[in-house]
Amino acid sequence: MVLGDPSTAILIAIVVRVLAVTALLLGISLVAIVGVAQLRAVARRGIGRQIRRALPYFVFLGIVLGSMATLRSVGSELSWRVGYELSSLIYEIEGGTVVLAVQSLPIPRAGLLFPVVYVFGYVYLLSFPFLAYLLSTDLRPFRTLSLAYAFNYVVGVILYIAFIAYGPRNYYNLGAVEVLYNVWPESQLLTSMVNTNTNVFPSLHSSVSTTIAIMAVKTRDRYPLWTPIAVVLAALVCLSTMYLAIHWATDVVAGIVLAFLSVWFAERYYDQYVDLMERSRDRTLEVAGRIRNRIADYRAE
Amino acid sequence: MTTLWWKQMDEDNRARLTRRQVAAGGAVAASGLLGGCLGSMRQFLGFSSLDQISLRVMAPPADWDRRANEIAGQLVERLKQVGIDTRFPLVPPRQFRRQVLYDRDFDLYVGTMPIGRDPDYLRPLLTSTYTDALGWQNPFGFADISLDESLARQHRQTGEERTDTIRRVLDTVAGEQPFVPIATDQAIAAISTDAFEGWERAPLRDPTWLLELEPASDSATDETLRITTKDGSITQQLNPLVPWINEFDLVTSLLYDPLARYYDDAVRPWLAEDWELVTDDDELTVTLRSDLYWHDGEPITAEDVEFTYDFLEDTALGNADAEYPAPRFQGQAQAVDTVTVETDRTVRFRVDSSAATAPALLTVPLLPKHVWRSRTRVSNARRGITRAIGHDNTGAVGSGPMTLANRTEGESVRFSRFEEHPLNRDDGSPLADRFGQLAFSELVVSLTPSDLTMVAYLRENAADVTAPSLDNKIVSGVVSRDGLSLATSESRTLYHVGFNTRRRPLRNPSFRRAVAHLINKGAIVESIFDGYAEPRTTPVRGDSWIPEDLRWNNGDPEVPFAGVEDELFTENARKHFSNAGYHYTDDDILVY
Repeated sequence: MVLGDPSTAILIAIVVRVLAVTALLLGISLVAIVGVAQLRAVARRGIGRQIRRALPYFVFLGIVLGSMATLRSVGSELSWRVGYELSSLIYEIEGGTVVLAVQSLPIPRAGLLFPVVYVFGYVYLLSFPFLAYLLSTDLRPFRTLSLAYAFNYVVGVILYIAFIAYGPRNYYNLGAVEVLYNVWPESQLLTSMVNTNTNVFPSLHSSVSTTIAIMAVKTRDRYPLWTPIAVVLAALVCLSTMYLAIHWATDVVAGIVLAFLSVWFAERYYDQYVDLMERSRDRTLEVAGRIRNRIADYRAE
Repeated sequence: MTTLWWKQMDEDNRARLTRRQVAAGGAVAASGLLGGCLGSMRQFLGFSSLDQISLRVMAPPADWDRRANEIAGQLVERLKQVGIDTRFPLVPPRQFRRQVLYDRDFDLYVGTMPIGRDPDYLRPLLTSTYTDALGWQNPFGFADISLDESLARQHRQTGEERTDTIRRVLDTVAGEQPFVPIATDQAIAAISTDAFEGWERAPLRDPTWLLELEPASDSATDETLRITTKDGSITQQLNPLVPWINEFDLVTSLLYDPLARYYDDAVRPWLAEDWELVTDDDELTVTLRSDLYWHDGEPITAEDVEFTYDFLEDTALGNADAEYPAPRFQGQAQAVDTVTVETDRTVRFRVDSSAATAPALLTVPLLPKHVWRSRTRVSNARRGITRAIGHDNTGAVGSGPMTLANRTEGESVRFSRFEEHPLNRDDGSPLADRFGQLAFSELVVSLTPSDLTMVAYLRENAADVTAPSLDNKIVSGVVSRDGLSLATSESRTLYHVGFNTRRRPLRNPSFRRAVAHLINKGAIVESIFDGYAEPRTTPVRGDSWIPEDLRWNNGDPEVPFAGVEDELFTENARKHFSNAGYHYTDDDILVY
């Protein structure tokens, strides 16, 4: 990316817009869902301690997502060499049936609603639970979610490489209306930067949203208001991927299955995972401490 | 000329109850009666003598070429309708090149190729000896000895003799349908700047398109022109010898110059000052302009010309066990027997061509010997690729009116005006007088993901003009909503269905014709191209070449659509397949 290039300016403008809307939504949700009392309590204890507790999990997620992004960038070429061409089979089985049915649902202002849900709703849905669970004294949901996220991405990227699949919008004769890029062409700069158009199986939009919805149901005692919001929004995200003809119903179903698998996996291996993270933290602190001592010794000499 | 067999066959089809049809009808009836029973017997015995015909129709995703994608989708549904098990995989351009142009691993595809200005381009496209070569050299694997002979003959003919031969060639091609020509599209570009004039002086995808531009005001010749495109290949490689061809190609129009270029309706001197053809001796003597330089400052000499033709004929330069010709220009290179340096500026070609076809031999890009002579290593013997063909050549040293400034892979390429070029030097030559100095000093090509984002770039003032490949479906919005202006022109880009005639059942010309009968070219031009295209019955431009009875006549006279408008008459269409020698089971499945 060349800074100062006018095209970069367009992209930055989009990213800023998405971040600004998300920040606004997060702010409102914190007050409404987490509640002022809990926010005050966290502020009193100091947020620093909580962040220190969560840090290894963020580092873990960063490493997983970073390496998966790298793999994805070379994955497209690899996929064409070793992957199975799946889209023609989905086209054969599913055709336009589900996507066209979703597009003809009697939802008012669907042409505006679904693009907004797909871009802004998804980013909000994906980031809010992290914040909310981080602000709770019990970090279990936070840790579970981080492992489920990682599971989603790792399995998703492996499937992306294993299967070549174009979404329904690339089969023009199905008659699915291109919505998102007609309404907001610039958004394609963002989506094409995040992903390539051959990576539609499974729908990670659907799997991550469903994962969050499942976790929201499981934590309904803590954040009762969040549960219906997450479930409805996740359903809308799943629908939006089909309404916008980005994904087939097959991708969405695979995404939902992946979501349940990921939560099962995260709960099943929770103890081992936390154990690993805590040991890594101790080990890192130990090494850091030793280095600090070494430096101190060196200075003293 | 005797009646060609397929003409005969179509006449047979038209006559009611010919012997052939009775026989075919009998076969269909018999297979109908036995169909269900045969099926279970086959299953019981565990072998199948009759398989459903299955095909894979390859096409670009709608993101890349909505129109080819839509044509393919229509064809797929109709193939299913006539009982063929059809799959519809999508492939991006890179994968298309790998499967079709390198590995010949396909059944049929819907795609585009540029048709030549002269029918001579059919020689490398359809000559049987090229079937094992790379690129657009007989990708169809089509083999017809008498066609080979006609294609070779027309190259050495002129005038009416040549026209006659070419008409015979087109007759055979239309009869055999190694590929189904559908339509040539109109080149469409959107423009947001008013700094330049002359957008429609040359066809938009021609090499001279941007050379024809003029600054709108007299003083401004240091403007930057910004083009946006969704074709990323120019950010990845700048090799004029790649085995594929796009009609709009900045590498061979701005970076690499030939000795001669086509403009103002003829092949005219470009880097050559002049040439003389002595037909009797098959000799072509070419004189270079004086004071020509490569982009790195080295002088262009007759030796570079000699090298270019030797190299195109064998990019291994005799260092390997076989010859490795540059696929893209093999048609031209092979017609040149020898090249001899006479003086520093004159070269003598011994050619195997006529006055009609010889000048086009000079339209290949010249290569600097000091850069390319080391690129002879064979990198893939099985595919026939040397370093010269596979190289990304991102440090391109050419001789064209622009030179490479810098490049960011996957994002943009920047060119700057090469002031030593005869056009930019304004040396008083007829060529410089004709075109004048380049109207812009810098050219930036930036990559975007789609046609819609190309237009968005113009709206946001991130570019001045789109590549001349805009989808007709967004044209109305471009004009009314975005207030941009349009430039359009005819093109030579042919939308077509390509068959792999090496494979069963596609090696059967009657089967290919039956497939062609499923395509309504007129309706495609109307609905898919919104009229921004011209239907094609033969793969050449220029009515003078096309035999009277092959010209577009409210429909394709050779392989008319088996239906009306958007509706296929299934029974009629099926008849074409059964007449081609295939059978229908009682559940209307086409088998062999």
